[in-house]
Amino acid sequence: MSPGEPLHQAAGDPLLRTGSDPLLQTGDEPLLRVTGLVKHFPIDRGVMFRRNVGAVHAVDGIDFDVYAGETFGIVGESGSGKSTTARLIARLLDPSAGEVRFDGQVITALRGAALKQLRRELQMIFQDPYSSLNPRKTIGSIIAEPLAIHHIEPGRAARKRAVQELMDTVGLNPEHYNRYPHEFSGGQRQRIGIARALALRPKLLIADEPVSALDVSIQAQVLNLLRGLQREMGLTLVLISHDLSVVRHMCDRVAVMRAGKIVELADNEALYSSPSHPYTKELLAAVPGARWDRRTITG
Amino acid sequence: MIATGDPSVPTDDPLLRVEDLRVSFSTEDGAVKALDGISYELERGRTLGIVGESGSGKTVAALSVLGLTRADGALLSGRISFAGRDLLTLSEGELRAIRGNQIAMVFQDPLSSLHPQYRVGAQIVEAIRAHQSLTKAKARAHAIELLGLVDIPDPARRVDAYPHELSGGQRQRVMIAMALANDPELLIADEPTTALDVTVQAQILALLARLQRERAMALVLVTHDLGVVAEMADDIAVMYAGEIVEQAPAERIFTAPEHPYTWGLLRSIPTLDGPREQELTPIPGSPSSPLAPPSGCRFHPRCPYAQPEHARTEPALLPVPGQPDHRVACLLAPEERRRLWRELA
Amino acid sequence: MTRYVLRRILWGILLLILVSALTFVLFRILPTAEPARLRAGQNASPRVIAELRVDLGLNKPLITQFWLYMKGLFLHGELGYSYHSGASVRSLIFNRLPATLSLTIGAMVIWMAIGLPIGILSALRRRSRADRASMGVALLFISAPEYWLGLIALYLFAADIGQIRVFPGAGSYVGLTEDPWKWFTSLILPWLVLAAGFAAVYARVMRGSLIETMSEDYIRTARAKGLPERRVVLRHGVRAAITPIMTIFALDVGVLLGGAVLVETVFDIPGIGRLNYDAITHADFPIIQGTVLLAALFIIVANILVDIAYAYLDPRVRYS
Repeated sequence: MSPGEPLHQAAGDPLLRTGSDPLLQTGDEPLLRVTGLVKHFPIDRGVMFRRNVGAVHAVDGIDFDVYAGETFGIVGESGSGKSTTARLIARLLDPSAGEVRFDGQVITALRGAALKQLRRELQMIFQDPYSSLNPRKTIGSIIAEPLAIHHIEPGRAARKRAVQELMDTVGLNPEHYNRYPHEFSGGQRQRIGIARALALRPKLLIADEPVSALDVSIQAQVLNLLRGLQREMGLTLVLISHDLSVVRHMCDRVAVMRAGKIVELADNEALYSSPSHPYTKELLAAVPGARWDRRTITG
Repeated sequence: MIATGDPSVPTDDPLLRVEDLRVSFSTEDGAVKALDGISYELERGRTLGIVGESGSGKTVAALSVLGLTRADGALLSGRISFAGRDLLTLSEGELRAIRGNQIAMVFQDPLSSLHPQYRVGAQIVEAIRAHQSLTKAKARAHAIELLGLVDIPDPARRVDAYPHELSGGQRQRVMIAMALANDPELLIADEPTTALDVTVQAQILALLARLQRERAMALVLVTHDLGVVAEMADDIAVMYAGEIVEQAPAERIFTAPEHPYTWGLLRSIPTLDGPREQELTPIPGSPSSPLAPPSGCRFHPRCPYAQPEHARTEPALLPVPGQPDHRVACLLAPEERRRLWRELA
Repeated sequence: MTRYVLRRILWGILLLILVSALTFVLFRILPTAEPARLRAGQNASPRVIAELRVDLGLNKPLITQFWLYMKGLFLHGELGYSYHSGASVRSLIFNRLPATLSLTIGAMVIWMAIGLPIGILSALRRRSRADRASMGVALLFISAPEYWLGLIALYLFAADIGQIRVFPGAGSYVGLTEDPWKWFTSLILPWLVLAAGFAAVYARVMRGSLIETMSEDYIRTARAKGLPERRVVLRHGVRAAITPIMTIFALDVGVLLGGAVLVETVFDIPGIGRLNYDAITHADFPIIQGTVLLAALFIIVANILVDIAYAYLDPRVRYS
């Protein structure tokens, strides 16, 4: 079972787009197209009756495309709006303005059954492996839940098989089907979250700071897993992170966000070797140990 | 070496010497050995970076110097020599005279580390008056001075702010100002920038470096971020499962590391300038739990080069041949390690 | 800050109006005894009853009655007249208020003075024998019904019927102005009985709150500054831990000022609680209405005060 269209090798290859403006790419239709996306959170004041006096512009008009099979990175500090953007794309929040097109279809106004259908194509994994899993459910039922909700693999036996297959794919022991989240380490819990997200074989996976809460030596395991799954399943990945090194390692194209706007969007190589926006330069210069010559270590 | 001006203390004595420090806690699940015999030295004005993941014991190592683990019923043994005294033998009252005075600490999350109901100025003044007999007015003036020293804009006004009214970076500056209130000789910083944005992190690290130079202060920097110690530390100690597994001047840790755990860390961390196509090589397994540490060499379950006897013998922290400043706790033969590293690098 | 206070007061007034309205409606539609008939007494002729109905204004439409009542209440502070005795409800309440105030304030001082320190010490010496013992005793006092405690106290210590004749017995209350010493001694047993349950609750809440606070990061910072432990516990720990205590304190005092019925009954203290109880047995609506409104007023005021105190103590609250 492979999702949607077959993997476009050309679309995923960064070298093809070096030198051309990624936003004006003709040819392949992007899997995800965001236009003029805005999210304002209102601020209310007043003694008795609260009136709106202004708004926090969490996301202040952004545009970008994500092509099938690529890994798209969104990088920024706190307050940049990157997490809000992730939630807007995943339709966990409603935008104040703007449009999100997924696979050709406008998804910003979807409700009810259509929205539920969207969830089969578009999934999200979260930052905190300790609070994003229901502690009262076994991991088997957590991973099976999307299957049950969308009536895939009817029958408990078929579902259990499917879940154990998923557990194996993400590197968990299928025998641990009936254990509870607290019996697992942070890295393993993140794998459970990934398994759950992949249960429906989505086309697009949004990962919001997937490794920030993990130990350094475990981060590599989860990042490698994501890369491997992406290749195997033809997934498109949108990776949100504050860690420039992680984004550098994982993403084909990168958008840098600041105060609700995208200040630079470029190919990985272009962004990291010759950044154009002063804020990007500031971010890169701020990474500690960056000036340390480590080429002798990684070879 | 920076002269202290105090003739009674020989200037070639290290400021801080920790010898075979062991810390264990008794919990409902049994005795937990958070630290199982660590030793290190720190000279005046130098920076020691202690690097480790969760369960490594690095935070306990930081807290034990000032005896802050006593409140949790910790059992400590070993020796911590500071300015000629063994801190482990001091009474609570004697330790209190040193806390916030000659030795100060900065913690990870400045929002939860500052009292939410008192103004920042009042909290700094409290730190000052705990050790100096100044009037409230003089102490307040000193507090404003300190805020200016850590680059907080408009310190005369900010001094009356509550912690939640300040940004994360400003809060950490306040913590640093508070730590410097009585001109400490040693500053211990436990993950001081982990909760901060990367640009703010850079500013705070630059601030710490500058203050350290200006005051000839020694700094112990505890972190999980190798980039941070690369930037800041003169010497680095790598901790794993309650022990120091490797200790060396900073450049050697990055150019000629000796311990397989260090190799694993360096190869599993994405960098800004490494080639993209190269896969990260993670360290298999997870950090060991302090409740049930592995027998023999603590790292052997995760070490790609482990031999059967490594599960039986505990390695000692010994100098690398030809490099007296570089010590490693590994049972592999030094020539073997060199060979393996050459292959990896 | 002023905006915060103003907001609280405005909501308080709104609430008071709402409670008055609700009380009025409730007591008019309750299908219990007819006040006119009660007033008229046994074997009254229907004509007398009808006349009384007119007298009491019960023949007017409900809306008019309500409007007159609210007008009288908010413009003149008029609370009506007792159906049973004809006395002004307002004067009855004012006569009884001092007793209730004496009882409440005295008990409050005692329960805070006993409960809080015990809670603090228990939190600091968690799981010690002293901690377990005090928490066990606290549980005992929380479970014991007030009137039972009151009767036991009288049985043991009352001057007239007790085993060890130390304190004056039931019914010996006199006003403060009449005889200060007798006032004081007659209230000791009632104070202790009333305070017992509360002290126990406060000790437990304080203990829990302080245990939580002492594990916070800012306590570690305070110790790292080299502060003496007493200062760390009181200025940093208790200061933060006291906020939940404030909330329940407001409610408790507010409720008690409306009359501690059980204690007042057992010790025969002429307070609002007794007044209310007697009025209920006689279906004397104006009095009941008056005491309910008074209780509501006390609770609302207490809550406003505590909200203000909360904002004063915890600066983070002011920005809500």
